[in-house]
Amino acid sequence: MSAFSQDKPRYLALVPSLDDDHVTRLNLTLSIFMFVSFLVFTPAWLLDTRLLDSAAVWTKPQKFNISLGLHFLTLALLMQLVPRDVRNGPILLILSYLAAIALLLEYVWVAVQAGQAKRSHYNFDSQFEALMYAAMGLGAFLLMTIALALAVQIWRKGDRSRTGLWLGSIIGLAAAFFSTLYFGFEMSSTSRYVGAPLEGGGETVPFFGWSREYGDLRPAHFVSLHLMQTVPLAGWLADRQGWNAKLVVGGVAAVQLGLATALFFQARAGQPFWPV
Amino acid sequence: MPDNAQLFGYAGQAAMLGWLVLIFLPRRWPLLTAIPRYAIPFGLSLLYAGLAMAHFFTVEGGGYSSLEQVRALLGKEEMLLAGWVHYLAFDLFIGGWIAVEADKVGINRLIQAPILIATFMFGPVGLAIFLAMRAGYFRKSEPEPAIVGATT
Repeated sequence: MSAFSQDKPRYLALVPSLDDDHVTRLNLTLSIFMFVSFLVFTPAWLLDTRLLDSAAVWTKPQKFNISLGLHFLTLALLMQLVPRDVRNGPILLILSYLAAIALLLEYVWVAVQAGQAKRSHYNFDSQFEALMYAAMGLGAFLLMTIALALAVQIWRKGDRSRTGLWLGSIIGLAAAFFSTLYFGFEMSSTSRYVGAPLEGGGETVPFFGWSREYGDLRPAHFVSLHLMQTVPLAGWLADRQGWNAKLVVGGVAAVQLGLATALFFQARAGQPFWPV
Repeated sequence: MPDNAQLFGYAGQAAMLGWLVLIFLPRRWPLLTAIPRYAIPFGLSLLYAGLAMAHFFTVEGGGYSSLEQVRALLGKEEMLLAGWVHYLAFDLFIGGWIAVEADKVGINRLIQAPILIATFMFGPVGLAIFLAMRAGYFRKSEPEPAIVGATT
């Protein structure tokens, strides 16, 4: 496969201090691709006045661009905690490629559907759209599986000299995997709203678009997904400041997971977390 | 002489062939890469030259200085075809440049695919994505040479 024939890179994106190996480079390039897409989609986001489910049609691709840019940047950074041969070993290599393929297919589909002012998720209008919605469920699973695999590899073979970062990465990645998939699949099997139709939940939180009038399952999904950034960061900070790493990591993870769970049950009860 | 619709078909097929080579085939043989980079854009450019030079000055009120003039120009079918061939030629040439530059900075072929497809479908969208991406790459500093015993 020709993707392997170009391992003579001379440049590295965003964070030149990272190790320059095939898997780091793949994840970092995906990250920059998504951040750049945010920039390139911005003119259309500003010019296009069409709405889909009460939001500008390009808002969803834009959220997707930022969120997954951050996702792959996080993966590239945390991958530095395992030795190079583990990082480029079969598990992380194959799962990185599966995540990349899932990302690119979702990227194209979300953009194409936005351009036509059609839903990408929750779309059963045609057989193909229903099939794509199902495929995006598998895609979301693959996007998160690399995070769990990285947690396992850091636990098994990671650099333990910085306890907070080591523990925070394992817990953050694993907790994000399980909680996000749970909230995500709950949301996909019902609706993003509780009590409102998909077309709109009335007043919304700016940019995020979460309903301020009805239950909305997306805040719980958001808070749980970002465990994979906040918990490693808390651990890293604990190491630097000489705090008790286990306490800080465990505390941040527990509080954030608790918050996500509370937001989930609140939404399930049909309540907005920030009522009008 | 093929008619306009036939020329449109040939030009589109040639461009498509170039894009398939750029997106799917390996880059290790310079002759193969030269087909989408140079041969096909050159052929399309010759077709454009023929159409534009034969028809540009024959359109009443046609020109480049206002939208009305451009509309008049493209109102003649040969110039509309020429304009389309211009897109095909330049988009493919830009695609070839992106492919080579992307290999240089080390962008995975898998991620090159959507950038090239964007360039194929919506020329400047792909170019903007690639230009912005390339701005995010930094030249890695050369590895520290072993300077044991060096005097300077």
